[in-house]
Amino acid sequence: MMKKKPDRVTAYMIIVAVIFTLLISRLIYLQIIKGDYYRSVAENMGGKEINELASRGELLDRNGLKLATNKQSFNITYANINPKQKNEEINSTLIKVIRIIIKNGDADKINTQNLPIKIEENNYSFQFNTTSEKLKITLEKNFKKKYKIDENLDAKSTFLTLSDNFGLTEKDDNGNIVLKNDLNMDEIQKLISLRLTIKEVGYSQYKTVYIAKNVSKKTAFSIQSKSEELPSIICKVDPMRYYPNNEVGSAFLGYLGKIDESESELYKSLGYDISRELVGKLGLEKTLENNKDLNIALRGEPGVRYVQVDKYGRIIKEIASLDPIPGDTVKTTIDLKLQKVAEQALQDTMRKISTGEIKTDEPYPNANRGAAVVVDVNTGEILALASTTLKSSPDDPSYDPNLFVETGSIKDPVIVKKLFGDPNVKDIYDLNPKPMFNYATMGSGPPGSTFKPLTALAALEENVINSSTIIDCKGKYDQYRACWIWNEQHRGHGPVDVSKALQVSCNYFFFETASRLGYERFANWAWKFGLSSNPQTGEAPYTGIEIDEKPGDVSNPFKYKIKYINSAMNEIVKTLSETKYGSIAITKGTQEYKIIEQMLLNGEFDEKQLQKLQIDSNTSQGKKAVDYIKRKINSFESQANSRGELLNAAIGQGSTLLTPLQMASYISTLANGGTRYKLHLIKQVLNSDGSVKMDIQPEVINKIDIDPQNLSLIKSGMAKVTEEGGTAASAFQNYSLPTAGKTGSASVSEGQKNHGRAAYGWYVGFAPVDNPKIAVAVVIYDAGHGGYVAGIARSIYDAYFGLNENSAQKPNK
Amino acid sequence: MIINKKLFKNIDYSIIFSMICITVLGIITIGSATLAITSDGISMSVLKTTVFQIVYFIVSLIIGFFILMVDYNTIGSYYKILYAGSIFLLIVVLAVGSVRNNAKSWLGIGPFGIQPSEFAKITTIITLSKLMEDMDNINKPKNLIKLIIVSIIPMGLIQLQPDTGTNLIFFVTIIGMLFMAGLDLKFIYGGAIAAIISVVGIWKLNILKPYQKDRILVFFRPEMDKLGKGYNALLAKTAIASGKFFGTGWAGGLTNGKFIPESHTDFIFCVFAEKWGFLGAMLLFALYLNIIYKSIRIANTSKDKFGFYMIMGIITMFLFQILQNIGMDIGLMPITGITLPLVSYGGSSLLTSIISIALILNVGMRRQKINF
Repeated sequence: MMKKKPDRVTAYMIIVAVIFTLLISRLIYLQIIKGDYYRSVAENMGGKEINELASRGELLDRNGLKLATNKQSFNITYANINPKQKNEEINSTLIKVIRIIIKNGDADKINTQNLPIKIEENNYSFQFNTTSEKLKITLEKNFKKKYKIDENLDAKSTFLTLSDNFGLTEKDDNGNIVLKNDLNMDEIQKLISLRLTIKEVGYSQYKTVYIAKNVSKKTAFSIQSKSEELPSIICKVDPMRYYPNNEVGSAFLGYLGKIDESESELYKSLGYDISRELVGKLGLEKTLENNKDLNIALRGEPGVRYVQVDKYGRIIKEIASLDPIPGDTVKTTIDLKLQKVAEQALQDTMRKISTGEIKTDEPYPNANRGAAVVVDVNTGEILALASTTLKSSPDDPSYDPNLFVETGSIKDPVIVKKLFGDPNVKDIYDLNPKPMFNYATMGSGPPGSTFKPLTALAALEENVINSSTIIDCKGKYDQYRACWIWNEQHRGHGPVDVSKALQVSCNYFFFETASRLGYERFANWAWKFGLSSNPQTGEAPYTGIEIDEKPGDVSNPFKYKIKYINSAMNEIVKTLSETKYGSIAITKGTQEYKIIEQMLLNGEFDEKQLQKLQIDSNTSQGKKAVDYIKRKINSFESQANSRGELLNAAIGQGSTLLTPLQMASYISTLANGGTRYKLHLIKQVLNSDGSVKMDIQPEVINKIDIDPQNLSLIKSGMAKVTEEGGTAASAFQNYSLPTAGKTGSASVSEGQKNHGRAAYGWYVGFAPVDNPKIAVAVVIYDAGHGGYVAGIARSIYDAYFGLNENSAQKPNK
Repeated sequence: MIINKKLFKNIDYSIIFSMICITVLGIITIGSATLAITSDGISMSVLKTTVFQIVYFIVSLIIGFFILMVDYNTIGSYYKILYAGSIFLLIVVLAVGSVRNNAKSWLGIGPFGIQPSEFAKITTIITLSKLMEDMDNINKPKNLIKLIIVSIIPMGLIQLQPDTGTNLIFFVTIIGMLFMAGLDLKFIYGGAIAAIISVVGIWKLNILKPYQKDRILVFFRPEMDKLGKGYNALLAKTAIASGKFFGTGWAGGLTNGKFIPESHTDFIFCVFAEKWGFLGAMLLFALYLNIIYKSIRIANTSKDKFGFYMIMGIITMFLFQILQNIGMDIGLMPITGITLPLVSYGGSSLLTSIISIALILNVGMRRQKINF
């Protein structure tokens, strides 16, 4: 055994004992003596993850003027810091906040959307932001289910149950449950709504609940200064969308709205906070929200701050943060000045027509909605895109996207009804103006005579007429159709050539021309200009615009067939079920049905196909059936290809329906000599630091071969329209700039007329005639005549070419 | 390798039992701490750290077993090679090592990197024990200088990384060993005075990195600096105290936030004490005390001074790491990056601890001269 030093080992043991005694006594002190204190500290210290929304990318006009930007807004939020808070604690905090907000005049900013119960005097009723009774019932059911309320309870009982759940009731002397009387009804309603919102978000610590959005600075400071008394309440500064020009440009800008249930999965997967983020709903805001195809995202990437908060919910330390990345800035092709002029001119003209300020042949009181599109003919850039409804007074609510920026929806039911229409009112004749509807891109209507230049061009190019072709307009063309002059003055235009025909808009000339041209060649030219489906593939027409569009289609056999196939099939099914045809039962959706349907669409009768369906000529009944089907296919085919359809289409009527945007595209293509550019709204995309992310170059969809002589013939005809004797002469009287155009007065059926509809007033044109720069397409519904709306084009030319500044300033003259 | 089976009768199995218990508790706690890091539920990183720690544990046990096979005196006889090897590794790490937590202390990549300074702790203990065994009196200036030089070379290299925490362990361990080897008390007093002077000197001469200064400053006034550097200290204390007597359980507690940094390594005791409470902490202490007490007994009965010194070195190292790591969490010691033996996440730390315990057991099983 070695020689040891027992004294030192003992000393060592003592040191060990001292160390552990120290540690243990400290732990006793912390964990046992101070444990309760620190446990509560720990609960209150719960860290928070605050999502910082990125500021949304700006939308600019072509000169850099702001169309959509952001401003700072003060938002009062509830941070769910301590999930174990008692009813009384939460209520007392919230009621304090509610009172501060009301005192500072921001009562209407409080988030009351989650309590769908309206209380007036002592009447309780469910109130949902819809007018459809069916939807109301569903929403009420969903609401009760969500908060576990008995389905059979009425509004009042529901309200009391909720109040009870949130500790806002007490027992009165008789033992009945009544509301606590220290709060007034308004406060209780607001409080319950906030409690529901908080509950909805659940106990997730990291979700922010908005108590009030976009409150005044005064409110924000009042809240901030009392933060000691208001645990869990945080005043946040967030970017909020702002449209400095209000309703100007709303047609292509769109607005921000709440994420719908149907979109929630998609946006969740993209990392959106679906409970509070707003997303683009229409226009560019929607298209560019997060567009992977175009590689443009207005949303940007949200940042996050990991913070420590004290028991008052105040941030005491930031642990880590990731700055948000602002969205892309998008410079549009729009010229704000022109856009304003277009919208104002539409508004003024609608007012003048509907009030009779413009002398019209008869009153057109429903000329209260319309659109205008201006396109740069050499690039396809859209310089202005307006869709406007008539304001009955300057304060009349219109589609101002600023209305949605706070919450993504509008609280005032009157404004909602005004903007979105009343679903209880059936508007089968499409009479009611719809401010949210984009008449420029979605609203297709018969283009009437504005289509005639294309008919003329097709006929010239296909050599069925030439510059010297003279057709004698006798007024009445056939049993069903006549020139407009016949209807008005019971006479004809007399001998007209193509140029004159355009100038005076002679129907007779175009009936005859189309008749010579034939359906196939006619439809093919319409397709070349983007006004008709591809005759080979059936591909629908498009202009190329980035935002949603719903282009119409020029009447063509296929379109006719699609339109009438169902009624034709119904007839066939019904007839075949008769005993004399052998009681053949065919149900929709079956193979048999599809085979017959396909035959009708192709216009080809195929007996072998029918035999496969056990329909054969061996029996007398079978023979009858086969013959019937054959007859039916032939007649359907000839109806679809009927001369009548073609003649109507030649003057822009019949089943031809086109959008103003398509018309602008077609006129632009015509003006520049046949280059069909992709219409576009985006000129340039900038990174948040201002550097250029991408430049959008003009894109050619189609280059149409047009004989220059034919082109100039059409152009001169269109130029004459604006000259003395032309249908738009009065609008362009003494105009210094030579322009070309065409009016269109697309008539509606007698049935529609009886319900207040009138002819669509169209004007399409380009300027200057010799070296075209811009093309314009304008429509006002129920305006009666295209001549009445031509003035809008003139105002646009004035603004674009800097003419008659004075007269443009005084639209009333 | 010839092993006498009788040797196994001399193994103190209660040390092995304690060691396994502590490590398993550690692994469970690491899982809980990393669970906290990913608030969205059990993610890959939780599994990764837990599985890695289990793998480290198994590998360490195997290595520890092989160390038992070899007589500690045989290991001791290679002290020069071991010492030179660890110095070499310390130089290599300075040249090609990777930086973690502000220190260039890692060799290799990813989870399988090693920390040469961890192994240098053991080789230095072995070297000093061997040298002291051969000295009749360590208080002779020549001997003391020799010991100091041997100690100062690895410490200097470690300071270059820089890893003050490990050097603190070195310092305390060496003092402990010298004390056990009979260092004259006048040196201890003298050293204490010298230490105070040098601390002031170091402070004034800016030898410490700013973050090191911060940690020390904060130690003296954590309450005054709630929002700044003392925040971790405060948070650690709060987490531990909120565990109360029984703890919050595996999935509960403040550390579920992501707010305690290094909660699975340096601040592991916070998580441990919060989850398992005072009761759990006492169990851990009992297990540690068992290892320490049994080890001192083995040291006392060891057949040679080498074994005695080595065990006392290892125990001092453990003791200081426990004191420092837990002490900083409960506000008794300044915050340094020192791991809790057997509990903290990390392969090098775990391996060093288990090799150390294997060496203690090695001394214990060979405490009697064996007559064939």
